[in-house]
Amino acid sequence: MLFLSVIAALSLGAGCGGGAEGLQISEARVGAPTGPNAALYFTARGGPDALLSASTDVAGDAQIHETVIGEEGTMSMRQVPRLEVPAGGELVLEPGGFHVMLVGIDELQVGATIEITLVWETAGEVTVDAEVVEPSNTIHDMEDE
Amino acid sequence: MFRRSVVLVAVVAVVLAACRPGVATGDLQGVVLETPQAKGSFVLTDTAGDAYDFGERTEGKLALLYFGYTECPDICPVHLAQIAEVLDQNAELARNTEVVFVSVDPDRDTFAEIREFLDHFDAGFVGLTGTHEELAAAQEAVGVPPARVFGEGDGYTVDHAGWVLAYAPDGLGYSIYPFGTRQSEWSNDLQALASIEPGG
Repeated sequence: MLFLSVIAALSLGAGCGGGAEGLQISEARVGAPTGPNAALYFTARGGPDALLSASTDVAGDAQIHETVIGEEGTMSMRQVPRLEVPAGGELVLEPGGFHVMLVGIDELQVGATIEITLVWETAGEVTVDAEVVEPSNTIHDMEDE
Repeated sequence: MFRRSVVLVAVVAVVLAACRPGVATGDLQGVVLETPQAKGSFVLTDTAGDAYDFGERTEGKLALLYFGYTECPDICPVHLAQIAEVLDQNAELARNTEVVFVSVDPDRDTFAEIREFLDHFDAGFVGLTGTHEELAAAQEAVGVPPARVFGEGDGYTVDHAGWVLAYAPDGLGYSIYPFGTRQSEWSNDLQALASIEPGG
């Protein structure tokens, strides 16, 4: 936990300047925990860049995951080493696709905001505020017509 | 992103029941099965520690059946939250609906953890699990691929069927609900399915 705190402090110190100029992160949200883990979703633009890791004070670990559909229609979570933001494109983390799994997360209420540090290949450490939302609201984009 | 056809093929391959003419399924917005599927029968243990006979306990009701695990943070909570939201807004529908969540992670999920997980959505949701053998039999009985553990150590994940099975009160499954089902589709279909009465 000390390690995580140090990371958070460093990234706070770094602020929003420096290498993070090109990278824009929006719609950062975490589904309210219903078990020991929760998922962080967001959209990133301003690549090329790549997400390498993440950390937060409210969870023991943070892993980059992809949910994939198997041959029989099963859904599988797999840890992946990096997620690319293409130049001129966007990286979308959403339910059923990519997410950052927050392992061993604290009890969090809907409406709370948590601070998460994302480590990018080019932009370096970028700290974002993610809102805790109802699990059904993690997919709000899908309801947009 | 979601390939519905993959799921459809997997399910249709194990369809057991004969077609029952006269039931209108044209209003359904989920993935409608080519042939209605008879409700599979299995017995597992509920979160109170009692035997739960799925066929018997859901007789005459709309039954929604989903296999997952409590450490699943991505798709499992979304399915359950969507269903809870529909039932929250329709007390009569909720009374006639049995939502059954089966944990396919019996090595980690305790009854208390399954109960706590489901209470985040609806205290009325039924939570079940069993031995690996019992779970395999239950999944085979309802025609979903068996869940499989992936990885080693405490951090393993469980591959499992990504869709919700639905059985109308007449005991037949007309449609399934893959991940990606919209809230409006859930709302429409739960009401439509609940109106398919036994002997209708």
